[in-house]
Amino acid sequence: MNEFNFYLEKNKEIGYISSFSHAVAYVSGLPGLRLEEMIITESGKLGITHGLKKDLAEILMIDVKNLKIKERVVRTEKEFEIMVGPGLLGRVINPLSQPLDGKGTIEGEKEYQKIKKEAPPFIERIRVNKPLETGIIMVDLLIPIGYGQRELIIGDTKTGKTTFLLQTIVSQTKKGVVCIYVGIGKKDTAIKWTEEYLKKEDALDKTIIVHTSPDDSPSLIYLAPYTGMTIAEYFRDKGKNVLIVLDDLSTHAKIYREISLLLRRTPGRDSYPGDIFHLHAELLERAGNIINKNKKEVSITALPVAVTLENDLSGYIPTNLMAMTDGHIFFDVNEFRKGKRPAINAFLSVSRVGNQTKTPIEKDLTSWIRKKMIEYQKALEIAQFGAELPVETQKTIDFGKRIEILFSQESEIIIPQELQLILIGLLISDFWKNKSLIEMKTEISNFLEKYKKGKFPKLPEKIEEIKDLEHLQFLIKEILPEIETLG
Amino acid sequence: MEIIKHFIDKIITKEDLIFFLQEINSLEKFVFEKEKNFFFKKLEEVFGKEFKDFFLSQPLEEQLFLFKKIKEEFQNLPQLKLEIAFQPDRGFILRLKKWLDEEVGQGIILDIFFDPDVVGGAIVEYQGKYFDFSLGKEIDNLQLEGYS
Repeated sequence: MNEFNFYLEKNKEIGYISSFSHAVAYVSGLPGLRLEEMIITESGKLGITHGLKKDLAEILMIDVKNLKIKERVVRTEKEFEIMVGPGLLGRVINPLSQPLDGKGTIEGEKEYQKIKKEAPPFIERIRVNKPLETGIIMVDLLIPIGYGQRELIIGDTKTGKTTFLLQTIVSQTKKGVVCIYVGIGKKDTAIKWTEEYLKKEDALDKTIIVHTSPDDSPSLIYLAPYTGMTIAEYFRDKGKNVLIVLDDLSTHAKIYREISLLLRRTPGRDSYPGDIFHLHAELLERAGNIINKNKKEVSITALPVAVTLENDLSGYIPTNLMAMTDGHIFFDVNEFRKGKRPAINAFLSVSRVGNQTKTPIEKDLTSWIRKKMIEYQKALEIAQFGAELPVETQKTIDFGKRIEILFSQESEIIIPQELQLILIGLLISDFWKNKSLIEMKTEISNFLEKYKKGKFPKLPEKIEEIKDLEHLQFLIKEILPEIETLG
Repeated sequence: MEIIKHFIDKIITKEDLIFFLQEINSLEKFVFEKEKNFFFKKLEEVFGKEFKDFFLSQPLEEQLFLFKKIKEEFQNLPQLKLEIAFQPDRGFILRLKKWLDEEVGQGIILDIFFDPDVVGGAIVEYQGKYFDFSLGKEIDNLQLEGYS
């Protein structure tokens, strides 16, 4: 009531709620009201002006409980703002920056920023030039992502998209990148699992989780990605690289459709409003690689998620998102059903700017591995007929299976980039040629464990010196005795 | 509508408006009745002979449409909400109406509230604008200054 009286006294304008339905209220009066302006009701409820008609304003109410007809409303002359600050790190919050994790209020330096801002102009932008390590060997090798890229993560539900994203977050927090996970209409149990996973991997203190559950009001869910992006921009402007995960924008589109239909906007394709493309493009354009005021290169890398149904990539929202991102990683439900983890279909995935970030050795390895994978796929097609295969084809199939073993990674396994090069080097040098697939898998796990315990302290230095494939093979020969003794 | 402009003088307060609209609602029900004597009598009573003659010269469908238009016109009249610390008599209301007609223009409906917390002066709301000229607010401010 105090805030209400303050703004009433300040602006000397008043409005009344004429009607409301779900998340939308219609307000009469308030002659000076502007679009995107925040309003407060007599009972302290917040709303955002979403549309202005001749006699009524359309308000998206954050909270509609106990709203009354004829309730008085005042303008604030401010756009919707959220609190940002370093105290948000390690916390689970809602789109209003209110903590949800029961750890008390947000401490430390705070400032208030608008959630809807313009994207950085093209003059500030620079090419994506540094690789973003996900810790997933298949992605880092075949579908590389760079800092400042927007890469869409697309696939059916329960195909491992969120697991991949969390592995990427864990990998990036170790490099000092601030990570933001925005759960859009996610179940509370799912967010709890996310929080527990990040805590277990010691990544929670560098991560912010923005959570909205399916029973929150549509307005709150609609605001979630904007809140995440505003927090990302705050940390970017402080000189940090930021990774933001928007899980998922298909739900966000459905919520926006619900709001638009309540506002009686003309429905378009699949009943989505006509500005659905603009809504997501405007949001994703705020990510990118820029030179800040201090002439430092900083970035926001966005990993939006889109959900498909039975691998249908031609849906309206997925195709929209594919058009506005710099590539996509496709989680194939058929691969998932075959037991492949991660269930990424490398042939149907693309990274449009990721190749710019690769070193010459990585480019060589990628093209070599791709060639082997294509040969493997062709050999498998021939093997289907059950005829006796020539020796060369059998070798191709065997090698292909070993590539698959190398690329398979469970949720707890994150492989640093230097180690990825060594593992590929071992594969190329036929280290596992005379060993069974199970032995190969066990040795890879052992090797990873030993590396984590610090058994190869000089390895990262040596890997940095590698310039080409020959050099890599030479290094492998050098460290082979050391690896063999680990057994 | 020109023909109803002189009715606007009769509607001063919101209560007058509500009563007037109720009269129109009850008249609407009689438009298609066979027995119309009561209807004609009521029509003349509410609107006057001139309007009654005009009304009866229209076809049936137009008559219903006319009532709807009159209701819309009156419902869209601007309202001035006034919160004061006393119950005004009719004389006060008429003087206030006369002043408003001269200063602002015809057709403003007065919505007067009695609120003792106002103490003196008035709180005025008109077309979304809010002005607190009450003595109660000044007393509150003085009290707050005293506490601080």
